[in-house]
Amino acid sequence: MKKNKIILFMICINLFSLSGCWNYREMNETRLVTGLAIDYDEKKDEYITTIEIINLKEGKMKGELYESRGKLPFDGIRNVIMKTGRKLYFAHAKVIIISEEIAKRKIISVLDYIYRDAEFREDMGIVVSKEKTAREILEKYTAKDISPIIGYHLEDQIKSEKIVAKYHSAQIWKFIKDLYAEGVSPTLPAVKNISDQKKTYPVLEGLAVFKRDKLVGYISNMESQSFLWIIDHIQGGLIEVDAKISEKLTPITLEIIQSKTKIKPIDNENELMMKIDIETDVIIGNIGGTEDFIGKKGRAILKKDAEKQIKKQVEDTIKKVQKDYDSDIFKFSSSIKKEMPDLWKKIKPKWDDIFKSLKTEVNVVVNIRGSGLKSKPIKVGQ
Amino acid sequence: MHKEVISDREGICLVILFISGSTLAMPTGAAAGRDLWLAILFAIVIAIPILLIYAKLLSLFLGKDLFDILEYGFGKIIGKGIGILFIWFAFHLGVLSIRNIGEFPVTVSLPETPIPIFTLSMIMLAIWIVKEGIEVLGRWANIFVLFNAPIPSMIILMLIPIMDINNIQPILYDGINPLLKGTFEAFAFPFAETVLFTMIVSSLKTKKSSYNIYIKGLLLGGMLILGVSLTEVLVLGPDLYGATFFPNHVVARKVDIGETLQRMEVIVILATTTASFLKMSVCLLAVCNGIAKIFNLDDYRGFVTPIGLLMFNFAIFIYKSINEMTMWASSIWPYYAFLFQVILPIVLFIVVMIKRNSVST
Repeated sequence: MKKNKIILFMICINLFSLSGCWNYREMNETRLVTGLAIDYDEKKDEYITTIEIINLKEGKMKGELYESRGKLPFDGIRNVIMKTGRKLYFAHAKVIIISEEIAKRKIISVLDYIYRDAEFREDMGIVVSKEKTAREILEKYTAKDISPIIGYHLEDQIKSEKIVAKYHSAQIWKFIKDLYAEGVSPTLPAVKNISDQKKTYPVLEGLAVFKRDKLVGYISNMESQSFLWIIDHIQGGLIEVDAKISEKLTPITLEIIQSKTKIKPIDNENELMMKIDIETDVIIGNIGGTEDFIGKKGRAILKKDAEKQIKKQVEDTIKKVQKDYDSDIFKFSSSIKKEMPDLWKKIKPKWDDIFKSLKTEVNVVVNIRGSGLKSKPIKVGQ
Repeated sequence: MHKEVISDREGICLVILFISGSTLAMPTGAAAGRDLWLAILFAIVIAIPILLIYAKLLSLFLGKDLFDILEYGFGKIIGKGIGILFIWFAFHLGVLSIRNIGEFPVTVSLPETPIPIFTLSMIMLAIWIVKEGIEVLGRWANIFVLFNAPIPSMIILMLIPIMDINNIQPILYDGINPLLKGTFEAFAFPFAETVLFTMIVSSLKTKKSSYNIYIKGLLLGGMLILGVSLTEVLVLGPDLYGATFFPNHVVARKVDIGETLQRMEVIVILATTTASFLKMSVCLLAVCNGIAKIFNLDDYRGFVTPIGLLMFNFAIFIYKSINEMTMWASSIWPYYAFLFQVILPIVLFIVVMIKRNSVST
């Protein structure tokens, strides 16, 4: 009995001394970081970090900005603590905005920090600022009624990729994975401020095209859609088609329900060619006229016009990227490596030249699966 | 004192958990790159004959363990000498797995906590369970295998949406050499580490039990490791897999099903910790059992605590950093362990067979 009592006593003592945490942090003693903007100051060779944190004190969610500098991003971010006075908590950071300057020359140091640090989540979004500095995206934001926190606002936009299909979101770890791959160049969404009704807020616009780890240029929203088609990542979005049944063109909007793209390299007589087969299921979403594009004949015309349009759009995008940027964002090299590993070993050293003049063949099949709720276009009585 | 006996089922569970111990956390066979799954498959195939030798030794001498067999094979002095080498091997392996499980939480989520906080609490429990004996250890494994094998499988299923088949294609792109190197790594860590079971499993039911335990345990545990590693490569790609200290934790963080089912890394930490706990307990038991046999003691329980604390201390100063730890595990360990995992058992096996034949004729 006596022994039992001693054991019980010891257990109780241990309960008090061992049940705490080693380095606990209370909510009100940390600052939740929601977004970061990183700029580069060339004169001083320093990184300028702007951090958006949530201020929970006033009962209402409110973002606050802090800025600091450091030799590398990590140093800069630690220095923020001198201003906030409290430790920052990064696990809820949603987005990181980098300036053009960083994207052109210094992206590795930023990526390395995010990827190495245990507190960041690797699936946070990363975007390139089209403004002069990345800070402006955070600073000029005035649309507090859309979302009080810019980080959350940008995250919402990134997540809408599925229905908008005009940019391609990049999670940090996927971006790094693409950097590792031979021949492939990654992309990031670009962001810029727009103002309407006296509000200023950031929107994602097109994609920033990289060549390896260096930013080389941008492609527009439309071209980004073609890009999504090629990499088989389109799950929604709209196609604008001008179809012609009698004399005049009728604008029609098709909504993509699902899409499948197959890329196959074909090697005939030392001439490498990429065969891109796109098959897209759409429904008619909006007809800008009274012509009947829903009947059998109209549908056939619409199908043909839509196929032609998509084909042109995709081909133009490939040509532009080949000519202007010469960076394989479409991952053609991956599919060559996968299908013809021996050939890839041979052409790897001169892949940049080959890509520039790589022939492509785009085949598009559009299947019209429906026309919304109605089976007929609107008719105007005579 | 009653004789301790473990059932076949418990033995199989022990082997499964032992194999998945550190391997659930650390990458193995990273040298094989995109052909990792092939490397692990080959490693399992190569491990089968080696494990059959272990099983044959145990089945020839039912009720005896490796140290008794060594004495039978090589005579008293040389047998005990080799026995001491094996004890060192088990000790070292235990130290490594303690260090692994200490580095794991510190690296992934609690950087300010000192490693001894984790390792000390683990080793205390290991000392306790080893003092209770192999029967308790077997029953423990029997329960925890139900918890430990399904969790990784569940995570594998949840990761299917973000797997990319291009990560493992084309097969054998870099030639056969990386594959062989990866096979060797995966063979030494973790499959052939099961040589430790010859040091503790002296209490089997029938002559067939040892085959049953080794082969079924290897296949089931190997399948688990294969599934987990394949998932890791399919998700991360071979380069990031090789560059990450704890790939299983990283991929579990990426689980996101409808934004409700996410942040699964905590249960991965649980699975890893429990499996590693079993691994270090088996190592501790092997060391204590060996020492008792070498010095002709009846019971090993008297010195479990000092040995356990010694292992704990070694684990603190054996490496300077986690970088040293992973470098050792992938580059040096396979060659170092080869002596104990393959050469010595095969030599012993041949000697024993010759001796037995000459006795019977």
